[in-house]
Amino acid sequence: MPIDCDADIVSARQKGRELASQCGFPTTDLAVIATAISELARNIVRYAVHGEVLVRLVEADGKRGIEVTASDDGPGIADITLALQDGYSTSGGLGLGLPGTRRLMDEFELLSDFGKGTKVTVRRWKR
Amino acid sequence: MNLELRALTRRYARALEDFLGGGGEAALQEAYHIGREALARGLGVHDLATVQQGALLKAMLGVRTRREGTRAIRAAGKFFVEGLLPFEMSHRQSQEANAALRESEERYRGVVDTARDVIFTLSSDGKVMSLNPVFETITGWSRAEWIGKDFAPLVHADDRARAVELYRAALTDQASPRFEVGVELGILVKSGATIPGEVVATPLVRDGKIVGILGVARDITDRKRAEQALHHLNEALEEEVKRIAHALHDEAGQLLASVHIGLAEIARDLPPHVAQRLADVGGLLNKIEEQLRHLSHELRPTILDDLGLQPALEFLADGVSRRTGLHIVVEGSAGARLPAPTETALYRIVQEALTNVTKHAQATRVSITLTRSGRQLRCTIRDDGVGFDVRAVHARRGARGLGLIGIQERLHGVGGTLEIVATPGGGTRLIMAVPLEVDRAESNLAR
Ligand SMILES: Nc1ncnc2c1ncn2[C@@H]1O[C@H](COP(=O)(O)OP(=O)(O)O)[C@@H](O)[C@H]1O
Ligand SMILES: Nc1ncnc2c1ncn2[C@@H]1O[C@H](COP(=O)(O)OP(=O)(O)O)[C@@H](O)[C@H]1O
Ligand SMILES: [Mg+2]
Ligand SMILES: [Mg+2]
Repeated sequence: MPIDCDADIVSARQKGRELASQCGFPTTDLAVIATAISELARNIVRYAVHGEVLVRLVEADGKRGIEVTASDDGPGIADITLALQDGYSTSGGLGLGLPGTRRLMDEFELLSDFGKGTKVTVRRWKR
Repeated sequence: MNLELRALTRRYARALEDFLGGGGEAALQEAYHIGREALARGLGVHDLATVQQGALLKAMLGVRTRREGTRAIRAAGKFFVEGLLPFEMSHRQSQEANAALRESEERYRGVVDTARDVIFTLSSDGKVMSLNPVFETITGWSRAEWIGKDFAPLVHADDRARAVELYRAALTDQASPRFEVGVELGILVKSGATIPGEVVATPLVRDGKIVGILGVARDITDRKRAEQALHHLNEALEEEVKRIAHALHDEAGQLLASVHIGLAEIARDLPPHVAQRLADVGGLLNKIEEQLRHLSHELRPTILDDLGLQPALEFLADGVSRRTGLHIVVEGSAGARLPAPTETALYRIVQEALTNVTKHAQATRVSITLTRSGRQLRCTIRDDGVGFDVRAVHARRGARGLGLIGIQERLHGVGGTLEIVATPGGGTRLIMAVPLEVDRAESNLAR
């Protein structure tokens, strides 16, 4: 799903929610997944202008879950450690998006080369 | 409800209405945005609950059938979860912070429990709040005997006022240079004896407010013993110095005088041009004699006994100046003659201080100032050298010199106090105050 504007964020949330719902996640988990998508997509719109979000079902070790990948070719993140710190923001924001998403989800991977874009992958497993 | 909450409630109610009317994901996203905004504005979960409650009431007002009511409540629940999620993100954050805090507290506890110094906290009304285990080893008291009690009775009656002063200074966070290196207080132990303790205190801060003090007390019995030994050593040294000064002045002086006479006799039998060279040697001998006399006087200046501190310091300054090239001035006035032990102590202190300046300071100028005000004599020795880190030197163990300790001990012997003001790069000042005209019986001036 391409992410260019706030409306795209809404549809990405919806897709994520539908997929997770099909997978059998409980309602509160749906909200968690939608929130993660919101935060990652928001960052794309704000910092990279354009990018995309991919939502898919995954399976590993007999567990079923959902994976969200947010990638862009934007400016990238200069200091990943800093960006993952609570309250760190280069835009005067809450600085809660990346560290908060990391806490909400079961798995979190952040790849970013400064100047070469950013890719965040998060997963949530069904309990 | 304040304006901010009212505005949020209106917005939330509109979104909820939207959602009930089929607004779908966009409406949910709006609920989430509202939660985020509430978080950004510093509102709490309870505020959001208020907002939710208000919006739900509003939604219920438009309900006509039971089915519509159930639907509204269910939707509101889903909505509420969306709005709470931003809080969930930060809620866990505080949980993690708490866990980290607990961990660091445990680590701190470990340090406190195994420390060899007594670590204690006092409440803002002077009650003992905590003591570490070593308190029992050192004092023989059990901790339970003191927790919750006023701390003052633990301090020897003579030192109680100073203890309270230290406590108040820490409680009001007034960093006083006087308290920086610790205050010596007699601590009453269970056996009835008093042991010397050195106490430092800092404010105990919780949530930005001072709620008491945190203190560390060290048993300095050993150090006291060492000081006592040093005191005796100083006395012995004084005797020895006297002996050497005598030997230099009298014995060496007499020998030189005999050499003079011998030379004069030889000169009589020599041709004039050789006699002249011998006379030159005589001149050198005179210089040696002069230097020996000066040295012997510096060591044990009769001038100190005869004329008093100030002339003796000028004499000392002159000698050091000539040997080292330092520019030294003696200023001010000590007024009338001081008790002999005080004069000797100050003379030796200045001597040691000048040695330190020569050895460590790389200074060009030194001033020694004496001022008398009422019952107190102040003596300040100031140099413009490299200075030093007083705390670091005080904290040195093992390889630390005896100079400053000796100065402290000598002052102690005449009831005086020392303050060192030094910053790396900013020169050094030793500020000493010695009480005068005190009853001899009550101070230990006997020396
Ligand atoms: N996709 C991205 N591209 C470039 N920089 C990003 C991206 N995502 C996050 N960042 C950087 O990481 C920082 C932290 O992000 P986040 O935790 O979401 O906080 P916030 O968005 O409130 O600043 C951002 O301020 C930004 O500098
Ligand atoms: N006037 C001074 N200027 C700079 N440093 C000084 C001065 N006086 C003392 N010090 C520092 O304090 C230390 C302790 O001095 P002291 O107790 O006299 O021991 P010592 O002279 O034997 O080292 C010195 O080693 C030196 O680092
Ligand atoms: Mg963000
Ligand atoms: Mg010295």
